[in-house]
Amino acid sequence: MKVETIDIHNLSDSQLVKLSRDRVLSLNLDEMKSIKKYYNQEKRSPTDMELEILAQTWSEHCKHKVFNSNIELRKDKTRKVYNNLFKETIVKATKKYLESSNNICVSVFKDNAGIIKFNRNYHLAFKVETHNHPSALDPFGGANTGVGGVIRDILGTGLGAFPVASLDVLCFGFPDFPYEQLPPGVLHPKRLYSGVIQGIKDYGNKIGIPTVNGSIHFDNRYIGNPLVFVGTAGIIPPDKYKKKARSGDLIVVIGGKTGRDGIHGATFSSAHLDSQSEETSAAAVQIGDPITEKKFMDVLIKARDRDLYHNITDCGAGGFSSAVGEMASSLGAEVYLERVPLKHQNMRPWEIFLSESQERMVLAVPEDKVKPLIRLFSEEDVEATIIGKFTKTGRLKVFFNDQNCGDLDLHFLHDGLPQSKRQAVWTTKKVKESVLKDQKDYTDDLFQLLSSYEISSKESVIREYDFEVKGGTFVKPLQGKNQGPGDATVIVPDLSTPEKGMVIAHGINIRQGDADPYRMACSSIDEALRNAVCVGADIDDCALLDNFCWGNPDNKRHLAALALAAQACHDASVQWKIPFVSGKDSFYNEFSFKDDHKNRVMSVPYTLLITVFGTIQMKYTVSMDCKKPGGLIYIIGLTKNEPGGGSFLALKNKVSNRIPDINFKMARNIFKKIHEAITRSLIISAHDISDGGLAVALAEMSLASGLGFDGSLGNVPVQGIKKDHEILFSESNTRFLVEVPFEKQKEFESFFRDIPNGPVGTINDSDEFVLKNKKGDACIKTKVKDLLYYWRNPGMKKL
Amino acid sequence: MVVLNKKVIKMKKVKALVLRAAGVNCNKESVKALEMAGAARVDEIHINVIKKNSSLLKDYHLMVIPGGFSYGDYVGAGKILANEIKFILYDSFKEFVREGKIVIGICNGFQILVKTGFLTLDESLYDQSFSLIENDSRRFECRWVHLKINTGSLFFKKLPEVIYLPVAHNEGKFVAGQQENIHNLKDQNRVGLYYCMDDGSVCRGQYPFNPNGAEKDIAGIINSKGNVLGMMPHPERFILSGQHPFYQSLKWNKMKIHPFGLEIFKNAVRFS
Repeated sequence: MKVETIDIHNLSDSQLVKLSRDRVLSLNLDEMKSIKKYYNQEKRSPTDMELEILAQTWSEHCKHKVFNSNIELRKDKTRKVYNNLFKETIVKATKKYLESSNNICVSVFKDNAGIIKFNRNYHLAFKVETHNHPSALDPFGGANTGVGGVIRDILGTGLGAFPVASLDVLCFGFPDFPYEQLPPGVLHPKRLYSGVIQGIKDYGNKIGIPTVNGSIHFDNRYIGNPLVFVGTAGIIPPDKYKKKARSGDLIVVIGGKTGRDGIHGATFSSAHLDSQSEETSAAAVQIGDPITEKKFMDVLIKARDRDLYHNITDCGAGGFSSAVGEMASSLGAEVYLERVPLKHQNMRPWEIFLSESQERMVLAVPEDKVKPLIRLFSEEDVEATIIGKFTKTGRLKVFFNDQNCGDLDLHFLHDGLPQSKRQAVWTTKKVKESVLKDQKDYTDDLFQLLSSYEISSKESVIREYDFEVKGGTFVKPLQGKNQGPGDATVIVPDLSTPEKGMVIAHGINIRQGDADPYRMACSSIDEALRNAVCVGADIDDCALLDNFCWGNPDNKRHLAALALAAQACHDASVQWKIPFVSGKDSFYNEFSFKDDHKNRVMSVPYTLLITVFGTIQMKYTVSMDCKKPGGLIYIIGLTKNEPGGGSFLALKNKVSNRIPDINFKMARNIFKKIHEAITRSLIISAHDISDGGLAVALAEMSLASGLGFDGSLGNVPVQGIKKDHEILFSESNTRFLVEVPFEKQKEFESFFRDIPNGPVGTINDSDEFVLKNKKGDACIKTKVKDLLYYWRNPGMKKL
Repeated sequence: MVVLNKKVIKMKKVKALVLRAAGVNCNKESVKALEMAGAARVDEIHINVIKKNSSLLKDYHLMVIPGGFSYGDYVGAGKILANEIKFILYDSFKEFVREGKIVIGICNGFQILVKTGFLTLDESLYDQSFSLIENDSRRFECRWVHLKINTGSLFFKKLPEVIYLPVAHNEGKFVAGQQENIHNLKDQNRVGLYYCMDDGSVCRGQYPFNPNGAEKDIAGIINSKGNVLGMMPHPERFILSGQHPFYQSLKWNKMKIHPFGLEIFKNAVRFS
């Protein structure tokens, strides 16, 4: 196979841009010019492989160029400059946290996943990834390999963490979207929905890692570009989280063979989708095989515990190029591609080096350990092959049958990327605030909210996932006699120490960002923490992950939304003293197509997924379903007139700019106190108030347990509220419904006296659900079994 | 007699084997269950190791074939691992069973026991009389089910008549090649567990009490000697009270929780 050289010395600026486009390099002019300059210094021309290596290493997917760029943000009349957005927001907050005395972090932002402390035997690792573009083209394959990829991220964390649980969060267009209105080249949301879920189920169930937490969201702006977030948690012994390859170590690939599937995945994921993507980029989607991954996963942990290797990383985006390039960054490496086991004949050398075929990991193995390592893997039919060695030359050299295919300076490869300067502008859009009249009765509205796609039961999906495998899922995704919606999941990652658990929860808000990205981000973090607190977590034992999915960052408004959301992450992290330990950003989540011969671009809503994980004492866990007739339900937190982005407003087809605000100080106080009240048994059930407000949360507690409820809005602490629907459906932040045992009422009230709270009503063993307004008239009155019926039958109303 | 047996058994240190192969994924929790049940030693052994030295089976008193997706179940649930046993290791496995040693096949393990002929109607034939096929719902079913147990079986001693365990499978619908096979199975008192309503009454195939459409609500069967059990539900996932799905409401209402799964493993160890 011949190696091609490309003469770039004589190319003009426009020719450089054309070269980047023709070869799908996804590099801009500045980047192409830096490459030209480098080859001028080297006094030679690049090979095809070298251009591919540079394109992959410098891809948005691998380098996070947008987040690391210099950004000038203008918001209405204010101006702020970030020299490096990422470092001056999220990293800055975490650095501040690391200096605190309560620091639980072990490794942040460096490795494949963030690592925090758990117990004497293990640390916890967590990573959340997105696999959006592949899932848009091939929902099963895209989601399937997304799960496989994030599991490998965990296996490649430190010297190998053992995966214990997975999470998935999905965003689609509405399932009832009219077929005739689908843009060309787009799969219908229903097809995406079932394909993605089947893909997650197939990989997760077969590899035997429980899928324990998740959610599904709908907005028609996800029609052309669905979002698939996949996350995995792992456990790693405290002495196994550090790793470093040494010069002289052999490069060993384990697992699957290398093929033509998944070429250009890293660059493909950094470009936008259009009506032709299906035809042009289908080869960028990889093919998954969970059993191959399961096989090496089992042996890898044995090899780790026998100290058979110095370093490990997964072959994800960019294949060997990324894996070897990263591990060799402070050393040097030589790779002999003719040794790589292949699926397909006649692959070009650069294809072998860049292929993103799944189920492969790369190890740095000292020479004297290589024989026992290969033997160990072969005992369980796992292929392990030496493909090169680490050197101290500072260069990445790639050969194919003695032919030199590439020879790059690693310093240039990793640090030669020019930083970009970007402009961001946010102008607050004025909307006419809607005024909704008060109604006498809201029972029907409650039914419609309960049966909306967003709020209704996801039981049919959850049960397709094996959420019980490994036996560690103690506080389950479905809770109570009627299997209501749990706020968070608690797993026991190691059954030998069943007293200690790991809490997993998340928050996401897709409707608030259009009006206020800053508050949207705060609300998402607040929701994630609320969910964790509801099962008993202490936020001081938790850490956060951020996953941004945005449209085109060249759009100044989109970029401004990003900067505002990142600033919110910083502020919340500092105020709440909780660190971000890992994250991921994904741009160009948009779909371009021709509509009536006009070019149109549809960007996804600003979507920020916040995942929270941490340590929890199992004896202090609670669930969301009502426990005992006679128990009292209290609301904690202040209800305000903030309908913007809420489900009730969406139901009524109205908009508002009044997005829920946050009071950081009060919120932290509430989070901490609820945790403490749970440890004192003052609270025996807790449920967070989010989509659909107080009314929906209360209905969920009742329907989950099958117990009746009788209460009133009279004692709900409010601010600036006049109407019943504002109390019933407001989605103000940092609010909880909690069940207090009758005999603990006095103690509870005195414990919470400095926090806004009030009794809502009493649980009973009837089938009646009654909620009265301030005047004492029932504004919601129904049977519990009707609540359950609507909640279990989704799609009755689109929000 | 039984008491005497027990005494003898208590002195014996039970060595248990948990079979592994590519795609088996419930091995760790099965090991934990056996350890908690009192087995003196529990080893996870890969099928490749047994293929090299099948006589090592002689060292063990008890075998668990755990759940999972052996070899991906791509050519039928458990088919490839069943064939490896049948065509490479048949004699040593037959000997293990003939000696009266205990074998529990859970989920995929049950599918394997059926396909290898260890759980069949006429045991002298080692043929396949039953199968576990795709659930009627055509979906994977991860849910807890009520089960009515065969009180005569050694595996279910000291258990109430109705127990509660999780299932998690795509292919768990128990069917027989011929209808009379099921009658014969019932006549021989070899049904180990039936799916049932929460009060123990017959559920007659009603979903989701019978989660897969199994004929006569059969969830698990035993061999005629009583030492081999195959079951779709996962006893290894209920060995601690906190695993119960209603643990929280039971706890706050001060109800006692009995980890039924652990009891099954304790019986297996006790009678080994």
